Amino acid sequence: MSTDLGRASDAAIPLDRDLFMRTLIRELAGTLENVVGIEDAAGFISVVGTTIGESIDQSYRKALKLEKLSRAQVADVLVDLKRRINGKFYIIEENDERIVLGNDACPFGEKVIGRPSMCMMTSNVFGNITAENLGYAKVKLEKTIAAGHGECRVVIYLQPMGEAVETDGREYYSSP
Amino acid sequence: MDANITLHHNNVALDFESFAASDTRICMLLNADGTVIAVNPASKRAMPEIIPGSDLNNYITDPADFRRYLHQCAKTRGPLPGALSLRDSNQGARSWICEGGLAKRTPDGHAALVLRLQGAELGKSAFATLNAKIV
Repeated sequence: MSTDLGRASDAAIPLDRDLFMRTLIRELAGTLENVVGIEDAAGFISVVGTTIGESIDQSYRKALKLEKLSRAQVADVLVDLKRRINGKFYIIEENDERIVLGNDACPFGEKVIGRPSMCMMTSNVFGNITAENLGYAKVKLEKTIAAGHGECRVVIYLQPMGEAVETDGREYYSSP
Repeated sequence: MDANITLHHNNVALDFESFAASDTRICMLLNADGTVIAVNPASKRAMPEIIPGSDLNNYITDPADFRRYLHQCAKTRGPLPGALSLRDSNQGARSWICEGGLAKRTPDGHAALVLRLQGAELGKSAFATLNAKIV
């Protein structure tokens, strides 16, 4: 064996578990979007997002020893859960009518660009946590990094009335 | 859920009958626990044994999974994809892919869900090109 040959472990390539997993999800989402279309792909990702949203909601409520979260606590949880997975969400507005969140960094990083179906993960996680605690949520993804906006703006309507009725978005309800 | 659930859903049942009548897919309006509220003509033709008042759980080969799926569907108006297997009158079973979502939530918490079914073999056709590439 020649000593001139480099070792694979010394190769300067950007590969680790996080990048591998994000790339895997990007390619899976892309394949789904191409094969069944963006709407159906979003539906499949919604199923996963619903389950993850329920799990995260229960984790926070158990850890905080609360039966239900208040509106302020819901907003706090939404920002915190994204922080824990490397998102940079922040509260723009929070009142009886709606919670508005901004975001400068997607947890999927650049792997989300051009994959709008992946945003259904955020819609479902935010929608399920909000609805389970406050009874109702309508989530509108006004701007998304996935669509090339450079930032996200997510509006969560808290009551099915007024502006919420006229706005396009996905509706969520608490468990029956 | 109480026995008068259909009273809560009278209006939504009428709406369902008007928009699902011409749908060639099997469409059902369900209570969140799986009780059938209404079915469309395609459903009546394919599964005449399933009528309003039937408990769909009695026809499902995996009721626990189905209940979990209905629970998720009851929480969003967006259609959620799923799969189920239904026993027929000859005790055979057929696989279906489905979409379910909330049609109406009453103030007292009752939920009416729309479930649309199509044969699993039809659903798989969307992946035929992909399968061909892989093979």
